Parts: sequence; structure tokens; C-alpha cells
Amino acid sequence: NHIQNKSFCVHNVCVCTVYLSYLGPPFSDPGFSPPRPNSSSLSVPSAATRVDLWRGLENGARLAQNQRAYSVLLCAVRELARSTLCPYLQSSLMHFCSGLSGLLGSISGLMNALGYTSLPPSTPAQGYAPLLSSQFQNMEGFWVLRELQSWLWRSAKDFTRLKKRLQRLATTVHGLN
Amino acid sequence: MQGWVTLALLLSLGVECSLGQNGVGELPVPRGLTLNPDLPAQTLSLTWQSDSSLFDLEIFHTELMNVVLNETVAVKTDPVTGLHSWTWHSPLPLECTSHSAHIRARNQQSVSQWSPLQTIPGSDIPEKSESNMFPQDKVVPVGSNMTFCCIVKEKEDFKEIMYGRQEMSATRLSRRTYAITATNQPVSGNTGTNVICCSQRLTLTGAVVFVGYPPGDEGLVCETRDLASAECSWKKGRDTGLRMRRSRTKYTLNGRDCLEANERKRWWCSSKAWEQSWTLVARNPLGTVQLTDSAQLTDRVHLLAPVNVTAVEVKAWSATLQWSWSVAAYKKLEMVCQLQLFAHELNSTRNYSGPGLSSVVLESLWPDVDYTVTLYCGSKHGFWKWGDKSAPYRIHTKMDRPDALDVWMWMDSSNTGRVFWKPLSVRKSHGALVGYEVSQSSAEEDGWTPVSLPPGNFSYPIILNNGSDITVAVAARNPAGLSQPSTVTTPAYRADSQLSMSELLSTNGSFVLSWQPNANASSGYAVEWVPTGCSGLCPVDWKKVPESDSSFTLNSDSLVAGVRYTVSVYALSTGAPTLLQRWQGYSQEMTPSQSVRELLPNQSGSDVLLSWKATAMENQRGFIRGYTIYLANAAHLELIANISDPEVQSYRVKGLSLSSYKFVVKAYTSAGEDAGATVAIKMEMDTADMLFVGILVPLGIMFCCLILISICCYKKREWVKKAFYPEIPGPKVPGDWSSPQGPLDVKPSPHSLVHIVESPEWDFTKEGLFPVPEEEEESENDNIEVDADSDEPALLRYYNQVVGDGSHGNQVSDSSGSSNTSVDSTQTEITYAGIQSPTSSQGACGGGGYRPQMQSVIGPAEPQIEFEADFQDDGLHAGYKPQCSWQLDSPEAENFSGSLGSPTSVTSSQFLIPESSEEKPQPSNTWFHNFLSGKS
Repeated sequence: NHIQNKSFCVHNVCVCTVYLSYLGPPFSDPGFSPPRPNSSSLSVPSAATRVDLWRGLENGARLAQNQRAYSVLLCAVRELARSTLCPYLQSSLMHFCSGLSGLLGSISGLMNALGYTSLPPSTPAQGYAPLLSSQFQNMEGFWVLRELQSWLWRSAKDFTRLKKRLQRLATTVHGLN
Repeated sequence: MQGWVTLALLLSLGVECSLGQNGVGELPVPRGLTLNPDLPAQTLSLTWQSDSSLFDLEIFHTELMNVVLNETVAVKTDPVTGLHSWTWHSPLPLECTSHSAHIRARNQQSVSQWSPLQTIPGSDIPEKSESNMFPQDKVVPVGSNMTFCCIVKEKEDFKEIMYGRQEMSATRLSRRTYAITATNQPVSGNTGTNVICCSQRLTLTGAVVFVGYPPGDEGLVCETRDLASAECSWKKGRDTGLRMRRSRTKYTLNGRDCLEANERKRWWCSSKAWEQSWTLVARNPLGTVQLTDSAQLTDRVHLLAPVNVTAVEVKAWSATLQWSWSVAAYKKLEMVCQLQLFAHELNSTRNYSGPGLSSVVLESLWPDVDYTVTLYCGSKHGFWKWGDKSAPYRIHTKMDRPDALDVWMWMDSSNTGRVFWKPLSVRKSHGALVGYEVSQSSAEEDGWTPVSLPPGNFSYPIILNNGSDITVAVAARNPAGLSQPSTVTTPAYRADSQLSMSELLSTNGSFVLSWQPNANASSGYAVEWVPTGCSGLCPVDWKKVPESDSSFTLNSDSLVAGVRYTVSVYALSTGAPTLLQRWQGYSQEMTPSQSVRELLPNQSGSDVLLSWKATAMENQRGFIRGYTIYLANAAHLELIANISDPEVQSYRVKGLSLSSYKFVVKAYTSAGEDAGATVAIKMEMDTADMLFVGILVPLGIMFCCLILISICCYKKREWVKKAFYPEIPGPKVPGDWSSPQGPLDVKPSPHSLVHIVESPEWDFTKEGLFPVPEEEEESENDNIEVDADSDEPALLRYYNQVVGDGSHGNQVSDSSGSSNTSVDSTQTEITYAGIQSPTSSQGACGGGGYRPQMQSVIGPAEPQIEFEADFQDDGLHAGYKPQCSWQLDSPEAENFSGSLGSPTSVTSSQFLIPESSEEKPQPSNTWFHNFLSGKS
């Protein structure tokens, strides 16, 4: 919750809300759900994995998926910021990107500390992006933000669970010693 | 048989003729029809070969074979290709569904066969199973109509198409295609207008349309800043509403991309070289605007701001300003520059010109003043506009010696006076003053005696020791030095009383003065005005007038309303000023601020002499024109006199009667009356009158009244007797009492005595009175006598109710058998204690006689002893008491005690006659005594 609240809202206004208003109706209408673009260009990993499967993953695997998701989402949000015409919204998105970047660094540091292999830092894709329709971009932006929201919720739970496990493990190790 | 053959031939010919008329077989069918769609433009080009030039065209939506076009067109053969071509603009995007077309040649009424159908596939064919929407990212002008289609994914249903938030009614075009038409589209937002296609359970697809305006730019103007390059600017005009990068307005200037406008969203373009004419093209997907401008370079010079502005030499009255130019080409340019000088009340604008102007001398500055200079220049020849302003530059001029003071001397007596000088304005002081130097010299003394005064002083006292004139010189000093001394010689003192002064009337608050020119006024005249009667530090003011003038208008702003001024005109020469004329006047008269003083009434018989004194001059606030005298009544003032001579300060009010009077005296000026002074007087008689009126007259009146009353009473004595002392009827005794049958037994009847005993059945908490016959063995009924005059039925009923509730109601014993007892018939027994006693009866009743017991009083029983004692006292002085009022029952002790001695109803336990003094009936002759004694 802390991650989400701190990073997804700027000056008490959530970037998500502002961005959806920017996209206009019906994107800004509550309950609107456009189809998720099924394109290779939107490589945002979905957080809609079944809960039982997700919980069955090892810590390392789950952290790795978090890291991959945020790497892709960071690039996607940067692209949203770049293509945004509204200066205020652009600065808000860039501010949010810096928060995401910090989160990504924390995940990498945690993985290294626990001995898991972390992904190399992603580099922005070079070259021209394919010409997409505005509708497609709007839907992509919508889904980037929706996935980002889902991932932030999931990560908050993951880190809480991981913290408990590590504390339990540390207690056990301390008891054995 | 032949007939049948002939008929068959005729029929065949007829059929051929009819077929020939329809053209079948005669006009060749167009060949090689091909369809070339332009999807973004939503156009379909048809090309074919034919010898005809008139064709029928039909275009269908293939799947449902809906005809969307059925038109006859005249198309000539292209001489180059030998083909016919025709283009159709489809309102529907061609991707929405498959379109088919065929064509036939027409020659008036004859037509050829239709060519084979040619079809272009849409995106709703089975091979393309995904959802889709068309057109995508279309840019259209505001107000246009537009058709969108949604191709539903295979095996998916269709619900609706939303245009923004607006649900639109859709038309089915094919198995999977639905279309809507948005009419009169409004301008889009930042990201365009979203059009969304939905199924029953989810959003299928969508499109964005950008609705905006063509460019509205206007007013292209090109100018040069450096005498070489060009800068062209224009106004943006109406917002196109198109924000997306690909639909923004693109600008070219003389065919070259305008980077400043295209990249930085500025509305100007630069060009390295000046060209004679300029063309700006603004283009967006909705239209193009072309703006032009042409001018010579020298006519469009817009200079840059001067830089490095400095003041190289600053003096008290001038300064030299220098600056430089950032463009070297300016040095040869003939230019005009404008300097704006800002200072407190000293703002000015000055123009300078010259080639490559870079320094000017600022003349006519004022010493010790902070100036702020702003500078801008323009081309002198072919002036276009002023260049940019330089940064403000501050100059502070040096100080200079003050100007000479305006000095005047005012004499308030023959040997004392005061020299005045006016404070110097900023423009005249030329620097902050540090003080004044006053020097005086007289004929007897050589040299000057200087005195230094601080800067806050504006006068200095002068004393003439031996009556000789004194010349005073006053100079102001600031850090730059001393001003030229101003001299003045003491004028001869002339008291107001020595002069015949005329009254000066104001005109709109100002005094218009004029005087006879004087030959001695070699240095002009001085007009002096001072509040009349002022002494000490007076606000003396003056104005010096050139010798050529013999009139002066003293404005109201230097005068105070309601203040009397003495205005004098002096002739100035080398010696002492000579008084020419003197006036007194008010710039504006007001009502007096205070009423007359010492208003006194003095009675003289029936007259009253009112006398007063005028208020002080400073309170008059105008020339007193007279006085008004009012008699103050309760609600208003009654004018009794108007004295128009202000010198008359008394008035006699005649013929007043003996009463109190209140007089109001008001002084009035031309502005009106003051509040008024009030004096009251009570008119009194003389001593002899008072003796007569106060003593003898009332005595006489009283005496007359006594005599009248006596006479009246004597004449009406029968009536008086009947009214106040009625005849008491004698007792009616049965039998013959006329002649005594025996000696009259005056022994009191044994039944007339009343014994008061405590009833054994009575509540011990309530004590009661019970008449007990002295001889109990006698029959109760033997001595009961009904008193027909006394008890009213209502009272009896009331008693009945009260008594009926008591336990002792049936224990009524016999009262006295005599008629004096007021016991009622059968229900109520009331008794007078001791009423049969000859002594007590006479004493209690005064006049004696019968006393009907009509008063019904409800009250508690009372102790026997007290009752008897108080009754005796009461009976001695109460006299006759008609008992005709109700006394409410009151259990309070005070009422109880107040009723002690009253006759008491035996059965009701009530006091019959209250004892309280307030309710004690007056003796029957009391009013008469009061009347005689004059009491009310």
C-alpha cells in the first residue's frame, strides 16, 4: 500500500485518474474496460495470474517476475509520458517513473542480497516505434496503468509475505545457532 | 397454314423490333471494369473500356447486395490510356464491408448488358476474424458528418457503438459490420474523440477521430533587428483544436520550414537574409492558409535595446548619458532616440536624433533629484517602430544653493512683529535644507546681526526698540551653500481700529481684490491675509503681486471657511511697505458655532426684558446680521421678534401673564441661525398682589362656600335627615302597648344573653361560637323570630351549604327570643354577642336602633375571649356599619386577627364585619366634614 500510495499519486491526485481523464470518455468512465491489446508491442506482463499458481512460486521466481514486470512497465510509462501532450501530466508521469525506477532498484538489491539472479538493467528500445493508431495507443496506455496498479497491489502483498518468511527463517537460523 | 407462318414471322419481327428498341444486342457491354480503392480517401476508382460515353453505374454492399449507388454518368475516353475512369467517394470507409460494382453503356433509352460484377473485399470477410473499426485517426473539420463502422469479431455479438459518451444508433451493413453516422461533430479534446464498439459483455474495438479547424493564422509582418536578417511574426488566430503531432499546423516561410513555429510553438520565423517579399504557408490536415508581406529593409528596422547605459557626468542641472549598441551596423544608422525621465512630479520625455546615437546631454535637470532613465531608439528614415527599451538607469543630480526665500513681515503691535518666510519647495531648495539664517539691521546699528535657525522654523520675532525701522534678511542653507538673502523692512503698524475697513464679500469662496495703483509700489504689491483678531503665532499668509497688477484673487484653498480674515494690500518699495487698503471678510460664512452669551431675563411688571451679548468673533463664523427671539412652547418655537440690527442686544417682551416662559435667542449670519440660547422665567406677582390673591381670595371663597352649604343643608334638612339619619322603625309588639299594663320591666330578657361555649362535637382544631341560651330548659322554637328584613335568599342558601356540611349544623340552639336577634328562620343562626345589653347596644351603635345583619362574611371561628374584648372596643367608635359587603374567607392569621371582634355567624364561622382599617366603613358624616375642611 505504501508503495502504491506513494508512487501512484502526486499531490493527492492519482496519475491514473488524471491520465484517464486525459484520454477522455469512455476511458475516464468508471467501469470501462477496453480489450487488452494483443500485440507484441505491448509486452506488459499481466498480473492476472491465478493466485494459487502465483503463491506456488518460489521467492526467487516471484521476485524475478516482479523485476521483469516493473522493467517493462517503467519503459511503458516513460513512453506514455513522452507521448503525452499535457505538460502537467507529463511531469507527473516522469515523477512517477523516478519512483518506479527506485522500486526496481530495491527489487534488484533484494534479489542480489538473497542470492537470486537478477535481470540486467533494461535499455530503452532504439529506433522508431511502429505507427499505431491513436485508439491502440489509448488502449495501451489504459492497460499499462491498469497492469501497473495490479502489480503494485500484488507487490505489496509479496513483499509483506517475503518479509515474514525471512523473519521466520532468520529466527530459525538464529535458534539453530 | 400460310396464315400461321405469316403470323409467326410478324411476331418474330415484332419481338426483334421490341428488343432492338431496348438496345439489347446493339450497345456493347463495357469491358475490363476494374476497381481501385483509395482506403484513406474513401474513394473507389472505376476504369473500363467502352466506345460509349454514357454509362449506368451500380455499386453494392456485396454481402447484403444493398445498392449504395445507382447513377448515370457521362465519361469520356482518356485519350492517353483509351480508358474510361470515374471515381466515387464513399461515405463509408471501404474497409467496412465488401463493395461490388458493375457498369453498362447507355445511349439515350438503349442500354447494354451489365458488365460482370467486380468486388473489392472488406475487412469483414471470414479470413479477417478479428474485431475492427474504421476509419482510424481521421482528421475532420468541426461540424462535419462522418460514418464509422465496427466489424464484430467472429462469434461475437454486437451491442452498441459509443461516440464519446454518446450512444449511437447503428445500422447493420453485413453479417459482422455495423455503422453509425456522427453528425455536426464538435471539436475534439487533446487526444481526439473516442469511438468505441462494444458487444454485450466487453469492449471490442475502437477508433479515434480528430475534429478541429483549419489554420486561422493571420497578420504576417517581417522586420529586421540587425539590418541584415529578417524576423517574421504573425498571430496564431483561432485554435485548430488539433494537438497531435501529425495533425498540428506546419509552417513554411518562403518555402522553407519554419523551425521556430514547428518545433517551439512560437509564432515567428527567422530568415538569415532580407527578401523583398515574404510568404508564410500554414497547413494542417484540414486546410492551408497563405500569408504574405513585402517591404524594404530600411522600412522595417526594429532596433534592439541600447546596452551599457551609464551617466558619465552628472551635475546639478545636467547630466551626460552614454550607451552602446550590440549591433555594429547601428553605428551608421540615422536614428531617433527617446529618453523617458521619471522622478517625483518631474516626469518628462525627450527626443534626440543622430547617426548611431550613443550619448546625449540631459539638460534642464533639477538639482538633488533621483531620475530614472529609460532609453529606446528607432530608425529616423522610414520609421517603423520604437526599438526595445533599455534597462532603467538611475541618475541622482547634485545639489545646488537654494533659491531666495519669499519673506514678509507682519506687525502685531507698534513695536513687535514677526518675519515670515515660506518653505521652499523641492524644486527651489535644490537639496535638503539644513537651516535658515536671519539677519537684522537698523538705522542706528551698523552691520547685521545673524541668527541661525533650524530648518523647521518659518518665522522669527522682531522687536523694535526705539520705533525705528528694521530691515531683516533671511537666507536658506543647504549642503551646497546659502541662498541669496531676501530682505524686508518693518511696515508701519496700523491697528484695525485706526482704519475704516470695508466688508469683503467672497465670490465662490474667493476674494477678488482690486486697489488703486500706487506710484510708490516700485517693487510691486503685497497682499497679506491673516485671521482677524489673531495674536501671537498667527497663520500669516501673503502673496506678492507685480507692480503692473492692481488686482488679485485670493483663492478659497488658502482660506478657511467660517474664519474672518483681515486682508491688507501693501505697496512695496525699497523702504518699508506702505499699507494701501484693508478689508475684512469671510470666504464662506457659516452659522455661529456658539449662541449668544449672558442671556438674561429681567421682569418688569408684566414685561420681560431680554438682554444678551454677542458671541466671540471666532465663534461667529460670519457677520452677525441680527437676532431672532422665540418663545419656546412645548413642541415648537414661536417667533416673537426679529432684530435685524446686530448692535441691538436686548428686547422687551410685553404683556405677559403670570406663568413660566422660556425664551430662545438666536444670532444669525447670512448662512443661518445658531442653535440658540435659552432662558426661562417664571412671572411673579408683586407683593400686594400676592397677599390679595394668595390669602384673601381663598378665604373669601371658603367663607362663601360655607354659607352656601349651610343654607343648603338648612333648606334640605329633611332630605339630609332622611339620607343620613333615617327613622328607625319602632318595634311592633303584638297586643296593645299603647297603655301600660304594668310597670315596664326593663330587666334584660334572659334570652338575650349569649353564652359562648365550646361545642363538644366540634373539631378541636376549629373553635366556634355557639349561642347558648342562658336557660337551656326553654324550648328552642319559643323564642325564634324571623327577621324579614335581613337575610337574602342567596345568602341563606350559601349559609345553608356551608352549615349543612358541618357536623354542628344540627346543634343550632335557640338564640334570643327578642326581635333584636338576627337568627334566620330554620337553617341559619346568627347572633350578636351582647346585642341585648342596653349599655353595650347603645355604645356600639352610636345612634342606636335596629341594624339589619346583611353582611355575609366567611371566616374561621375565633376564640371567644378575644372576640368579646375586641367587639367592645370596636363598638365604641365604629358607629353605624351597614354590613353590605362580602369578605372572602381568609385563613391567614393576620386576617384572622384583623377580624377580631366582628359579629360572627354561628354556623358559618365567618366574621361578619371586618376590622381592618381599610375596609372599615366611614362614619356617615365623614364626607361632610371632609367637604367642609376642604379635604378631598
